[in-house]
Formats: sequence, structure tokens, C-alpha cells
Amino acid sequence: MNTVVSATSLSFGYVPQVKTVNSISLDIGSGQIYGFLGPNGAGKTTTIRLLLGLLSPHAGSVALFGQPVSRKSWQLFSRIGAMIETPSLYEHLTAVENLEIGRRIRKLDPGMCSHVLEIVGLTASARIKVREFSLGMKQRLGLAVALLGKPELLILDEPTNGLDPHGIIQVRELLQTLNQDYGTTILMSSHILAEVEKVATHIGIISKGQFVFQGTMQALQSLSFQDSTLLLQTNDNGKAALVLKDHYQVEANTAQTISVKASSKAQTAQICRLLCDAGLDVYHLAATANDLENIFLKMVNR
Amino acid sequence: MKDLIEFYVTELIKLRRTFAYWLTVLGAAIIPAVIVITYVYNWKLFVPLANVNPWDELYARAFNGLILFMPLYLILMIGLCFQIEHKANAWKQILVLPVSRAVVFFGKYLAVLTMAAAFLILSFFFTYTAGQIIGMYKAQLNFLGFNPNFFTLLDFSINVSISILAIVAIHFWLGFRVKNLVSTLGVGLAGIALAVLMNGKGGLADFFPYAYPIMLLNYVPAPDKGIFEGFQWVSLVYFIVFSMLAFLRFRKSFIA
Repeated sequence: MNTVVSATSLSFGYVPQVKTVNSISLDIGSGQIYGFLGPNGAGKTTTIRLLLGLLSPHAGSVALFGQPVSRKSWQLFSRIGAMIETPSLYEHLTAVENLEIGRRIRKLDPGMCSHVLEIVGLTASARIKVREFSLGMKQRLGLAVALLGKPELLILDEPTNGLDPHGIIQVRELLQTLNQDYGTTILMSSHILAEVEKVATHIGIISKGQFVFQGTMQALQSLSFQDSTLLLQTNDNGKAALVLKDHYQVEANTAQTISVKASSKAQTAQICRLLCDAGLDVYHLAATANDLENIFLKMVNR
Repeated sequence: MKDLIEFYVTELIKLRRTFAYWLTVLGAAIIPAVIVITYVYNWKLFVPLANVNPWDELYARAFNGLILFMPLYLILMIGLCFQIEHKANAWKQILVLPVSRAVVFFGKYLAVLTMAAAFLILSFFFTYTAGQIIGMYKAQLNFLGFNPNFFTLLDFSINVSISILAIVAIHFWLGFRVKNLVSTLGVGLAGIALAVLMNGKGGLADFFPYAYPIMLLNYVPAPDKGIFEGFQWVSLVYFIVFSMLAFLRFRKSFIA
């Protein structure tokens, strides 16, 4: 798999004493959807600006499509669509005029504007001035600007900001379609895990300018089983506790339920097997796993 | 070159329906409108002697108005052109487009110069229209019997264009440095006020860019003089120096 985005030991601070981004390294392969998560002020936007060459790193380097990013690497941007923070829109112009600016500079067919407007569901509002748009419509138009030219890499900074639940689902489906049908590599940042977990193949969690987690979505999900508790109900809870205590930490044993510590799906299966082998009837087995939101909050020290 | 043309066109698209656009069109009509009112109400004062071209006096009045109004127009127009980007928070988006920074810089500069040229041309056109209206209103003023002196118009256009270049370059440079329109307007208005106090050519005024247009007050073409006057050469030097500073500033800047 080709590496589309590669950053090595990136560091940057708006003031010399405080590092907003501290030694960040990341690699995003072709065709991945990379969810870039972190609370507000964690350094997500600064990292995105560094990746796009809008800020000069104090240390480290960035390469896009294998080429180092600098002020002179503007040709690279014909392969990239970006929306950084709030969409940059000229409010006195109509939606189609805003797109026309990007279309002309990228030297695309005139039909491209209506095509991207259709993708984001703004065809009916093409001739309306942007100042009349709602926040959600502006967000979708910003997305349309980023989609001009069918980019190979899409960098979206909090693309669902201001969207209603229906709009969030639409954006999610759009990103999945772009990824699956066109192989578009996507980097999307967010401060809400639930928003990213449904689309991302890979996750990076940043806190105070440093990565606290990087890996696949599966790797993050497996963390949810760490230190989880199994609640059990059998026909003889006392015997079940005796069976399990040699292998697992039995936390509580009442007439109704037993609580057992387990840290993986495999352990859950083994517990069930042990009880069945001992001739016990298992009526209820439930894992009270940490949900991803809790894991995320723990990681970012909230 | 194609990149530059496309970028320049997009700059003109951005100016649609903006205050800068209307300022250029309506601002150019203000002085001719005042001239029409003055001639209509005091027409007896303006009846020319036999065989005297009435357009010379009309344009001389228009030139004086233009010289006083144009620096204000330029300061406001350039500030507004930069506000389009600052207000839309658009620099970060522009800098991730597949065009070089040189194209962005010169595309924007060309758009600003186009607006200044449009203002000048529209001013001349509206002044000509004003003359025609006055001529139709009072035949004694003899505007329909003569034509404007093309050489005078061309000579004034070149001289005023050279004289304003310093102000254009300084405010173009300021546009990149200062996001606040009020601050750039403040600098410009202070410059114009000081220029008025300097009261004409000579001394420090020759090195004070805001004074250069004022030095063309009561303009009379002099075909026998050199190409440009001393202050106009200084204006050209200012233009080159501040254009280079603006370019270096923009080329090196990372938009935070």
C-alpha cells in the first residue's frame, strides 16, 4: 500500500515555550479513512495546517504522495481537496460562483460545479448567495469546494460541524462512497469519537499535542474489552464461583449474579466453556465493556 | 501564464457585487455629477469665448476633483479587496490550490490595478457624458461644437497613474500585513492629511507618496518637459520597493 501522507516527528508551537504539536509521526496509506481525534485545542488543526504546508514545522518533515511539502510544492494540491476549520466561502457570491473560483484555478470542466453541488445536495441552492445559507449548508458547500477535481486525498477538518443528524449521516455516507468507489484517501478530524468510529478504518487520538493512540479501528475496539467485567447468572452461582476463581478474579458473588474480570473476547468464551464443562447452566452472560467514548475520554485525560 | 489569467479572472469574480465594485462605478460618477450641477446652476460663468474649447476647462475641473478623490478611493478599494479574503478566512484555502504563490500575488495585484484603471477610465467617460448633457442643456456653452483634447486626457492619465503607484504599492503591502481595514484606512487618511499640510512640491513632499497626486493640481500638459517630474521617479521607486516587500512578505508567510 502506498503511503499518501507521511509525517515524521512534527513539532510546532505558536510561541516558542509552548509546543502545540509535539513530535507527531503518522502514516496514512492509500485508500484509508483516517479519523484524527482529539479534544478542542489538542492540536488537530495545527497538525492539518502543518501537513498542508500552511505552517512551517519547527522540527520534523511532511511528505504527501512521497514528495516533501514546501511552499514550492503547490502542484501537489491538484491531487488534494481540503477543508480547514470553517469553510472558506465568499458570502456575497452564490454557491455556484464560489465553486467557479476553484473550478477555474483547477482548470476543470464547467459541468464540475453542478456535479459537486449534486453530490452534497445543494443543486436547488446553486444560485443563492452564501450569506443566505444555514451553517449546515455552508458546511456542505465547503465540502463541495474540497471535492472539486475528484481529489485522491481529502483532508477535512471537522466536516460535520454544524450539521444536523441527517446531514451528519449524509456526509458519512458520502465519505464512504468516495472511499469505496473512487479509492479516495480521507483524513478527517473530529472531537467526537462516535462521529468517526462509523467510517474510519484507522484512528489517531491526539491530546496536548501528542498521539495517545494510533492504530486500526479494530485495535481501538479491542481496548474496550480491557478491564471489562462479565456478569453471570447460572443455576448454581456458588459452584460457578468455585470453578472460575482458580482462573479469574471473581469480584462479587451473590445469589443472583457473579462478576468476573475479563480482558478479551477470548476470555469471555473460555469462561462460558468452563461453566458448561462443569455441568452448569448459564442463564445470562453479559460483558460490561468500557465503551469507546470512555476509552477516548480516559486517553485524553478527561 | 494561463494560471495567472485564470487566477486574475477569479479575482474579478470575487469583486462582483462588492462595495469595492460599486465604489469604482459610483465613485467615478461623483465628480462629473457635481460638475453637471455646477454648470447647470451657474452656466453664465462658463460661457466660453469664441473659438475656445469648453472641454479644456471642464476636464481641468474634473482632473482636480479626481486628484483629490483618487487617493481616498485607492486606499479604500485596496483595503476592501483584501477584506474579501480576510472576511471569508480564505487565505488558507487559496494557499492549498494548485497555483504558485507568485500567481496568487500577481493575480491579485493585477485585479487591484484593473480596478484603479477602471476608475480612471470611467471618470473620463462620465466627465465626457457630463459635457454632452451640459451641451444639450445650454447650447451657448458650445460643448457640442468641440471635442475633448485626446492628448491632454492621455497625458494626464499617464501622469496621474505614475503618481498613484506609490500609494497603490504601499497599501497592497499593508493589505498582506494588516487584517484590520480600519487600521489601513487610518494610515491612508493620516498620509493624505499630512500631504495636504505639506502643500505642494518641494522639500519633504517630494519623498512623501501621499503628496504625489496633489502635486498634479491645476494640471496643464507641458509637451516640452521631460518624461516625468522628479517626484514621479520617486513614486516609481516606491512602487518597485513596496511591491517587492509585499511579494517577499507573501511568499515567505505561512498563514496562521
